[in-house]
Parts: sequence; C-alpha cells; structure tokens
Amino acid sequence: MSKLNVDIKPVRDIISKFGDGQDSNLIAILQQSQDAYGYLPKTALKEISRLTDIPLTRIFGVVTFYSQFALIPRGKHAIKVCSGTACHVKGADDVKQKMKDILNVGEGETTPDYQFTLETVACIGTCFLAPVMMIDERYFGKLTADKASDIVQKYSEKTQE
Amino acid sequence: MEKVKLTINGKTYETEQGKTVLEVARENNISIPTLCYDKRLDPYGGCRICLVEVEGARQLVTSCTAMVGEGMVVNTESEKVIRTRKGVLEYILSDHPLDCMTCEATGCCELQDLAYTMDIKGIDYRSGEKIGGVIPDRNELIYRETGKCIRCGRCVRICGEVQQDYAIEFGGRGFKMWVATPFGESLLDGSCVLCGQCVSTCPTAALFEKKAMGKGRSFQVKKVRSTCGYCSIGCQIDIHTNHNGIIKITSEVGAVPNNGNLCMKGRFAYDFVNHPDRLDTPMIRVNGNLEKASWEDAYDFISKKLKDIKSKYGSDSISFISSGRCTNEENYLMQKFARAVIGTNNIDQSETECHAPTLTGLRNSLGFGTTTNSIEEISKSDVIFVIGANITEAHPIIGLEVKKAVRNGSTLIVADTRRIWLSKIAKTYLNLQPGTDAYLINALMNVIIKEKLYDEKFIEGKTEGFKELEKAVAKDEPKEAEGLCGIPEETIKDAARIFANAKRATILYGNGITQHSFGIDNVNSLVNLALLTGNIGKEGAGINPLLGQNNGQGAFSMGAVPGFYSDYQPVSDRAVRKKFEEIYKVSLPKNKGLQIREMFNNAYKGKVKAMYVMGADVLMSEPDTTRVKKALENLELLIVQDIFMSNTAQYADVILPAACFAEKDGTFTNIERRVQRVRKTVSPPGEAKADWKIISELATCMDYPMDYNSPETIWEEIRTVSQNFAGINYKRIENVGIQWPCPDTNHPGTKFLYEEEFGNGKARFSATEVKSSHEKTDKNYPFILSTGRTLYHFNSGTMTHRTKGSVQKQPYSFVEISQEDADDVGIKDEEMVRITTRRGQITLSANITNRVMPKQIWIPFHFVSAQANLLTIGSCNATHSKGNSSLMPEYKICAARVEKLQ
Repeated sequence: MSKLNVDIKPVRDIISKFGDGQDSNLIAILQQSQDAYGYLPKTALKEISRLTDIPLTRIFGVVTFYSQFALIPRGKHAIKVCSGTACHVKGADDVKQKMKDILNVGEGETTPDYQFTLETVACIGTCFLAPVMMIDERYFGKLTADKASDIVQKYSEKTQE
Repeated sequence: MEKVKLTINGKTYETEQGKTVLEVARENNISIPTLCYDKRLDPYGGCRICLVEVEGARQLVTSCTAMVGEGMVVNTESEKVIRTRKGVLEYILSDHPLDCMTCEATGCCELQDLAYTMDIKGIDYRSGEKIGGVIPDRNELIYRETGKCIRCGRCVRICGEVQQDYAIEFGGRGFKMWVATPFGESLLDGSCVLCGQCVSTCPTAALFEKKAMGKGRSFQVKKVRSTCGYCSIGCQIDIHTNHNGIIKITSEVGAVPNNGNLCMKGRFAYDFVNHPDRLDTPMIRVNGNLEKASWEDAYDFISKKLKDIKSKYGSDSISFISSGRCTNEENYLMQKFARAVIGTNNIDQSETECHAPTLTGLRNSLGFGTTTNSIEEISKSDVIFVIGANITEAHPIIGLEVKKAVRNGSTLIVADTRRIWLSKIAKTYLNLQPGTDAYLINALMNVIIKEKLYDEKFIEGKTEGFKELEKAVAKDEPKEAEGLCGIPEETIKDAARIFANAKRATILYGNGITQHSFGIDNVNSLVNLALLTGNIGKEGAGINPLLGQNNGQGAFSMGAVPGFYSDYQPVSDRAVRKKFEEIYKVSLPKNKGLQIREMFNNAYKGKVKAMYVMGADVLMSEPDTTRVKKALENLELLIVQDIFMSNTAQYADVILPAACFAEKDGTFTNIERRVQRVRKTVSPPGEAKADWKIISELATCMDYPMDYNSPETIWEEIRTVSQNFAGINYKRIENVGIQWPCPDTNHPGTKFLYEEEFGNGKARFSATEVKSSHEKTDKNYPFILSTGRTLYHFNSGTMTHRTKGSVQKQPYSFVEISQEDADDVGIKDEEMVRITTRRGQITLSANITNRVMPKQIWIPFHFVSAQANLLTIGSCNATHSKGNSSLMPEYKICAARVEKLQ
C-alpha cells in the first residue's frame, strides 16, 4: 500500500468545535474525524489525545471496541455483504466468495488502490431482499454471485472515468 | 462511623457503614472467592465470582460492590450461590488454555486455585478455538500473553487508578478483547513506566515477570521479606530466590508502608546483585596498580597506615564518610570506629549533602531533625503542598499516595521550577523561578498574616517568635514576589488561602528546597508556614522532608554526623560524652568534626590526609568533581568500601568488597522514622563481606576489639545508648517496623511527632531574611542549570546501569531544554550538545520539552558518561560556612552555556 500523508488540520478544527467537556464528546470527535479522513490515522488520534488530555490508550480502547471505527485506511466504497440468517440461507456465502475473488481481498480488507473495502455484517434489516449487500448507502437485493460481480464492476468503471 | 448489624450465614456481625459485604466477610474469615478484586483498586464487580445471596434482592449480588446495610441477611454458601459461581468459572475457563503443567503461574494462579477448590475442569463450554497469544514486545521486563487473560481488568485499573499512567487499556470486545497498548506499541514507547504493578495484580500468567520465567514455580523458590534498598520509603519486598540467586521481587498487599505497591527500581532493578562487575576480593594499590589481596593483608595495610597518619598528623587528619545506603548497625559502627578507634568526630555521610538544612532547621525549631508524619497520613490531608520535590520519580510510592489523595478529593499545590508530573493534577501550580522558594513562602505567609488566616490559638499556646516573623515577612508582598518568582500575585494569594484554610495541610519537600547554599532559610520558611497555620502535631498535617537514600534517616540518627552521637545526642554535651566514654571504654574527642563538604575542602588544601569512604561514590555525588578529584589525589590514604569499582574506588589505595542490601542482615530506617528489617537472602560474591563485619574486624585488628556476632547484637548496644530507640528490638519488628521515638518495649512507636508538645517545649519561628546567592547568568553563561533524579536510575547509577529495563528505558543522559531555547541554539531533539559552566563541561543529548521553562536547563546526575557534578558549584556561601552545621553546596543552581556539538 502506498504511504498516506496525514494533514493534521481537520482534526484540530473538529476538536475546537467541541469547546469544553471534550471528554464526553470523544465518540463524536472520533466519528467526525473518521468522516474527514475516511479512517482514523494514528497521527490524528495522537493529536486528539494531546488536545483533549484523554490518554491515547483510552482512545485506542474506544476505537477498537466499536466496529464503526477503522484504524487502517478504507476504500472509497464500503461493500457490506450481509450474513444474517435469511441471507445465509439464501446463499450469502456465494456472494461473499465472489467478492473476495474479484477484489482479491479478505474480509475487512481494502483493495490496494483504495477503491473497495469488503466487510460482512450480521444483518442490515432488509431480509425480504435476501441475499443482500450494501455499497456505501445503497442496497442491492436478491443477489446471485454474478449479479453482485456486475454491480461491483460498474462501480469500478465509474471510478476509473 | 455509624455501626450496622448484618447476618452472614446465620451469624450476626456488627460493622461500620461504608464497608462492602466482601470486606466484612473476609474480616471474619468467611471466604468468598474473587478474581477481579484487589484491595488497592475501586470495586469493579466484573468477574461475577464473588456472588452472594442477599435476602430480598431480586438476584444474586456481587459482594465486592454491595455495601452493608442494617439488618442485611447474606448467604455466601447457598446451593444457588455455589451453582452460579461454578457456572461463572466454567465460562471464564471456556477459552482459557489448560496448560497449567507448563504455565509459569502454576502455584500462584488465582484461577487455578479457584478451579481446584471448586472442582471445575473447564471443559463444559470449551469452544476449541484458539484465541490470543504472546504479544511480542522488546521490553525485557514484562511478558504478556493474551490467551491467559481473564479480562478481570486489574492490570488496566491499577495502571489507570493507582499509577495513573494509562499505559494499557482493554482493546476490542467479547472473546477477542485484549489488554492493549495503542497500536500495539512496545511498553517501552508509550506512557508505561515499567513499574510492573500490572504484573503484581494479574491473577494468572497473562502478565508475568520476564526475568523470572523458567526459573522455578512459586512453590519451588525461597521467599524472604526484606526492605527495598533504593529510595527512602522503605517498601517491604519479598525476594524470591533459587539456587542461582534472585529471580524476582514482589510485595504483599497490606504490607506497611507500601501496601504491595513497588516502582520499577524496587521490583525489577536487582540485576546488579549478581553482576560479574561486583567487587569480590580486597585490593591494595602496589606501585600504582590495584592488586588482589587477602583480608588480613588489607587490614594490616590499613591499620598500619592509619596509625602512621594519626601519629604524624593527629586524629583529625583522618575523615570518615559513612553511608545512607548501609544499615543502621553499620552506620553506628562507622561512627564508633571514627570516634573510639581513631579519636575524631570527622564522620559524615552523603545524605548530609542533601538534607543538612533539614537536620538543623527542623531540629532547631521543632525538636527533631526529621519527618513529622507517616506516609499513610498523606491521604488524610485535605491540602498537600509539594515544593522542590519531583515525587513521582524520586519517591514513586509516595507519589502514589499523593495521586490517591487527589483522586479522593484532597487539594494539591505544587511549587516547582519544572512542570513535573504532579503539576498536571495540582489545583494550583506555582511555576517559580529557580532559587526563589523562600520569597514565595514568605509571600504566602505575608498573605496569611495580612488576611488573618493564621492559627492564633496554636501560635499563642505552642510557639515563640511570632512577632519577629510578622515583622520579617511584612515586606514580602505577593506583588513583589510576582516579579521575583514569576508567579502572578493572585495565584500566590489563592495558594496562601487554600493552604491556610485547610483543616489538615501537609508539606512535602525535597532537595529542591535544601540543595542551595541558603537551603536552611528555605527549610526555616517552610517550618514557619506550618507553624503559622497550626499544621503540625496532628494526623495528616506536618512538614515532611523526602530524604533520598534508603537509610539516610538512619545514617543521621545513628550518629554518622560530626556533631552528634546516635539519637542526636550532641558530642559537645559533656554528660553525653561521659556516657559514651563509659560504654566505649575510651576517651572521646570533644571538638566538633568536619562536615562532608569541609572534609573535601580540607583534603584539597592538604589538611585531611586519610579518608575512609563506605558505600558512597563521592566523585560522582559531590559537587565540582574536578576539585573533588584533586582532593582525593592529595590523600595519603583512601580506603573505599563498596560493592562496585565506582569512580571513587578507582582512586583508592585499598578497596574492601562489601555485601549489598540483599546479602546481609540488619535494619534500615525509612522516611517516616520506621525501623525495618533487612534480611540476608543470597550470599555476597567471592570474599565480599557485610560492612558491619568489615568494620568490626578492622577495629579488632587495630586493637579495639569489636566482637559483635550479628547485627542484632549491635542493635542491642544502640538501644542501650539511644533513648528514642530503646523500645525497638528485632523481635518486635519481625513483621512490621516501628517508628521512633519508641522509648520502651511497651511503646507502640510514634506515628506523628509533637502531638503533646515540641522537643524544646515550644516550637520556634525562625524569621529569615530571604537571600539570593546563586551564581548569576551572563552573556557567556545565559542558562540556569539544575540537576536531579529520574525514575529509572538511582544516584551515581552503579546499580541501575547494570539493570535491564532501567537501561532500556533510559540508556544515556540528556539535557532538558525548551523549544524556544533549542531553536535559539539551533538544535533538534536528540542532537548532541555541549554544556559548559565555569567549572567544567559535558556532552549529552538534547531533550526538547515543555517541562523546563525558557532559559532553564535540567540534567539528571546518574550518568558517568555525562557527570552533572562536573558542572555544579562546590564552594559554600561564606556566611554559612562558619559554625553552621547546615553547610550546603549550591547543587541546584548554576549558570551554564549550551552549544551544538559540531
């Protein structure tokens, strides 16, 4: 993976918005920082610790506790393949395997060009569409392995344009 | 405290409100199993193994968090309780490796013990999935294996609550939860101070002492209780040994005074004991070279030389430097040797170079030249004033007490030239300019007097000299102090009000107060402040000097000082002298001896011809090294008795190899006047002997028989000649030490001084004119240099530089410098710089930090490679050197230059 340079300014701006009582706003600060960077860079977390006086260990504990936070850069698009009960029965495994094959990544991993991050989630609440996956905020239902492949292919092309 | 009655297992108990069910049960020998519980920590209720049934409660409750209540009915052994506990344990064991046969913790594993007593095999819910493993970490002290972790959180909590270092924290969640450092960094890189408190509380082998691994299980090793040999807190330690020597050091929760807590040095810095560099045979200098010799030859050589010098130049041409590192018994013998065998009062020791002003100042105003209160009382003070003491590094376990007190609501005031750790949790931080302590304290008193916040009744009834004080501080307005100390007037006023309004305020001070040529004025000012506010003679209120060496307190009180015999009995007092003459069976010298500083000045001038140095590396510890070296070279005879070939030893004519603290019996007196046992756990290397043995044999060789067969027999003699120690004997201090004064064997010892009255009846204010005598900065030397201790090393470093961990964490010396100054000098972090003063120069690495203020620099004095004392000032303020027993060199301030090394 290519090395990423991290600009410290966004995280400083975010913290300054919170004023006092930053302790109790840690999660919000982390969420906004993740939005700004796409993940939580080490440099940004160290800066949060320095400016809020919250020990870095504590921040690290919170970040690793919640699955919404990522410590390594994520792709431009997040692919979430549902593996809830309904999807599982309807063949989510095939979809998942196909994704792994065409993207050449494992679960939780990101493609070397930072386009896609593949995740599996327990249930996204649209069992009537099973098997389902989400790309970013969009749902794709009643999938087969090939259908899913085509969808991802389209995202790929769009990105390259 | 309100009383409540409750019933446990059908029996009624009366206890105090505010206790937990678990505490009351354990006090009454009712066993309740626990895993996440450690007395040192807040109750957590995480492991669920301490569940009990409480009548009327909807479900089982965790006894570690449940407070007792009136009429409570508790059952700790019901069928439901037992069944549930077994289930809980089965769950905990479901992912725990069942490799007890090769596990380090076998025999001292709380989980294993519980599984055994509850007959749980840990196979019911076993998933078979292997979770966790050994965390790779290049630190050489602490081993971490996540697979053995039961997520009780004790390590994480002790690191956060007690140490407040926040080096580790739970990462992740569920089965995959692990004890994490940020981004998996090594413990060497984060905020970890390698204290090993996490290891001490881990119930399994998830955390373990790396150095002890593979060296034997707890039931295969010998464990001996002793007293730590580093700082003056006197932590009780258990030394574990196998046939090869020390394998680890632990401490028991509940031990006085450290309650199971230890710092990095106490727990891990014992590698020096068995180090190949240890001196293991006597040596005599022949034709300029040190050659191995037998004890007999060494004694004969010394005896002949000392007799020659004595007859040629007189007794007072010989000087003795005793040691705050050696036992009470050894210090007593050393002073006896000087006085009875040689006939001189030229006996002193290096703690004098730290706390002579304490001895003189506190003694003159209060009665005893020592600490007034106990360590445990710190948590009972509502205001703690820390001045000139970097406690969390120099006295880490007292640091824990201060942290605990602040966490429980005490107010902390910190006055220091550097932004030390404690300033982070202080309510008021007084960032004063170097050398302005007395101005600041006088300004505080000025406010207290002006606003009538002083304790009139106390002053009236228990003190004298208030009027003079009032007059003396009247001109020290906080506004003026603002200019001098660099602290805003309002901040000074606030601090004064906080201190004066406290019910119980305690003062903790260190070498930052004493190590000035005007150190005595600083100490007197602090005494004045304590007296003015009536903060003395009660629990949790007093004035407490933090002596540096493990037995500095004992060296003073055993008479290893020029002016006093043991128990501070003045040599100038004819009756006292007569008493000692009768016991020592010789006539004793009348004239006051030389203080350590004068010894070197006189050796430099050629007046002192011989020096006997025991357990002190004076070439490292004395100021202005170049001059000290010249003084040592001038001597006709230098005897050095030490455990290593120290810098000083290299100039010796005779070297006597000594035993270290782990290799001998005896007693140390800690900072709170507690006389505690030191016990032999391993044998000294080669032919090395305990210091008391060496002194006795040498005295006998010089026709003054000292036939003590053990340190206990020496102590028995000390008791008979020292009233305040008369009640202390080895039997009484077998388990817990006793604090002197303790005049008879029924006396419990004295927790805090002056409850009834002061040593001289009334306490005396000593109005002091504040002075500034420090070396001035100028164009060539624009920085103010100060020196001090770090957490990882001790004194001249002979012990800690031979210890894993200390060396890893702090391998070389450094100078702390502000960013602003670093930019001016043109240096980056970790670049090499040259520091020059009017006396010498050293080169070392720059540490750019906001701990120091601009135009100030700070250097630790532990490193031979960059000897801080080549830079410091040795000469004393002239007005203080005449007839003043508090003679102090200007260790803490000198003018310096910083240059980038080209």
